[in-house]
Amino acid sequence: MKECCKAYLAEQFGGDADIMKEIYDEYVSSVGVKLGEAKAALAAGDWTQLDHIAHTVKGNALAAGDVEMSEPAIALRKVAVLKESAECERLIAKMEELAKTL
Amino acid sequence: MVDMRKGTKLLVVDDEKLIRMTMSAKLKRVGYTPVAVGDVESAVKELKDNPKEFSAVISDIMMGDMDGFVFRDIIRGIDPTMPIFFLTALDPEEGSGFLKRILDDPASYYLPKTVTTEVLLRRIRQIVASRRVENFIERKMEEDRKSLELASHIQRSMLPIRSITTPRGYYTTWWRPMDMVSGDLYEAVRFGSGVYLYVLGDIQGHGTSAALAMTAVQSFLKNLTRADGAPRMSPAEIANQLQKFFRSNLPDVSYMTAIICIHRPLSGDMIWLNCGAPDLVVVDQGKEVEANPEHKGGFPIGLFDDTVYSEDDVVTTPLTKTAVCFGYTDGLVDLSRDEEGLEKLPAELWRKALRELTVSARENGSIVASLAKFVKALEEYGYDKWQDDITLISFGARVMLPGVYEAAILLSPDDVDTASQDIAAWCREEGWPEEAISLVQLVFEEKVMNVYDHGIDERDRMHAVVNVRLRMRGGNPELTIWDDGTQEPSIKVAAGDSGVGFEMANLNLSNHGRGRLMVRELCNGIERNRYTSINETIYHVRLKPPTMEVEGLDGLLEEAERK
Repeated sequence: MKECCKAYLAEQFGGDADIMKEIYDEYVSSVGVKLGEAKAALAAGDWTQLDHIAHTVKGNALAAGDVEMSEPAIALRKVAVLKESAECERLIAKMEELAKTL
Repeated sequence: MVDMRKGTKLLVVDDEKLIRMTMSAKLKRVGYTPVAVGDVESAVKELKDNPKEFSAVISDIMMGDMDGFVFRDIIRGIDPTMPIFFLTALDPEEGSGFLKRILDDPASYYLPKTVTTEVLLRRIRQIVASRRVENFIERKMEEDRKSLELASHIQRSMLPIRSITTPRGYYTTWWRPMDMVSGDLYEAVRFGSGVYLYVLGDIQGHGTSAALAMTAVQSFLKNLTRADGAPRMSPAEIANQLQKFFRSNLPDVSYMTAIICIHRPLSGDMIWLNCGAPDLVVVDQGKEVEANPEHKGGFPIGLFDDTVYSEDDVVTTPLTKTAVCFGYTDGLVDLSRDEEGLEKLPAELWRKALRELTVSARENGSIVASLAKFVKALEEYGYDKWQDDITLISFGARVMLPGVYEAAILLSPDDVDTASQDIAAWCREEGWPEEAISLVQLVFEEKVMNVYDHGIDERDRMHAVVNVRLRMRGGNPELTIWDDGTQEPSIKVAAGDSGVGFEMANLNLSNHGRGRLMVRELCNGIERNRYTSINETIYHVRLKPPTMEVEGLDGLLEEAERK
């Protein structure tokens, strides 16, 4: 479990290992799915959908205590609104890199 | 100490499983029972299937299937005060528009998705606790309202009927609590042929305590005045018995101002005792007659321990046949034009209105319905803010005007039938054609039974009265009925109406749940007015039925239905 997530979840759930694991597993699984959806939205030029996905990733990351992941997610929302394709691609790639550390 | 969180159900709505999981886990940890759903449809189903079960809703704002604010509108349709916590990952700067929209609704709150368990607990506990208190108060108020409603019916059932006519006299009353129950009372008891005892009492204060004392006193008064030998009692003796009752049963709790009056139309007088109440007002042919020139009377009943009323306190007031006696509790003078009760009703104004209405009521044969018009007149002057219970009584000799029938009729099928026969007998004495008599009886019975069936609460039927006036106007019978049934819409169909007015009026009536009246076939015109709590209906009965077909009537009625 990523250290920042572990610390955050432990604080939120009083160190209850079962709940922490359950939530962390769901987070890891959701990030994988959402990043796949983000790439598909970018390829389709669906900026609204991309914005919505970035918003969800940000919410999930914060709920799991993964501040590192929330930062590119916030940035992705901004560039999706501006329809900056290259920057979106770069941020998704960065998030994929971060996902590998989970 | 009871843990208020235990069993408190919270509905969590978010399309993201992770958010549902974290929020539910946090809520469980602090003792709540979360029910988590992933879409609005399931949330609405939960709320509809389990009304009142959830103490709050915790919802995302940006959900796949629906905007959280649209969801809030749906919730408001189910429960206008359900607390809704909007859970959002938005930064305040980023989402200031959202924040404003959240706070536009007084029962909506903002929670960041990253809310710590501690803050979450604090916020929810505050809001849910205040909602519990609000619900408790609301439930208690509803229970209190129902109890008061029942108490109001009980009080009404203890009072004599509103109005009565005998061959020699009449009385009519107006009893209205300021807030459902009253500390005012009246009693009317036959004390011999044509002789009536009237008691008008005002127990100190108003509201529940005064109402409880009222029921006790009214009950005592009923037993006292209906006992063998009661008609031989003088007003002073009755007052002394009441004084004993107050000092034995309600000492230092309550006292009552009262008028105790024995009206003797045959002797042409009344003997009465004023126990701290406003004096009776006597109006004769438009002029006030001094009823108590020596200002006799005693203290309020039960105010002091040692009060004894003597025959010297009793007043004898001579009355002509046309005199009208009027008694009132001091709530009348507390009537005001403003909520604060500062612009009180001036005595000269209501006395002028009383004199004028009494004259016209005596002249046109509507004396038994005159109090309703009196109160309505005061309201029209702007004195419609009630600061206290009000009871009015009017009584006098019965004056049979030539060509005018006037009566108060108990609203029961048997009494209506008897009254209908009485009306027919009077019409025959007046030499009316049989056709007119049948039509009048038909309209009278139809109207009065309509009031009985649809206009009066079942609990009040035993004591309901209608007042009737019948006379010939312009060659056609005019029948006026005053009833205190549910409010009916005002209507006016002019004499000679082609039929459209009748149909529209009937439609209006049926829309108010009072059934239709078959007046079109029987009347030239109809008017309905409302005097505070009394409906006045005037039928201009016609002697020949109409034959006219009305062109375009169906279209007009359809249009009215649509409206």
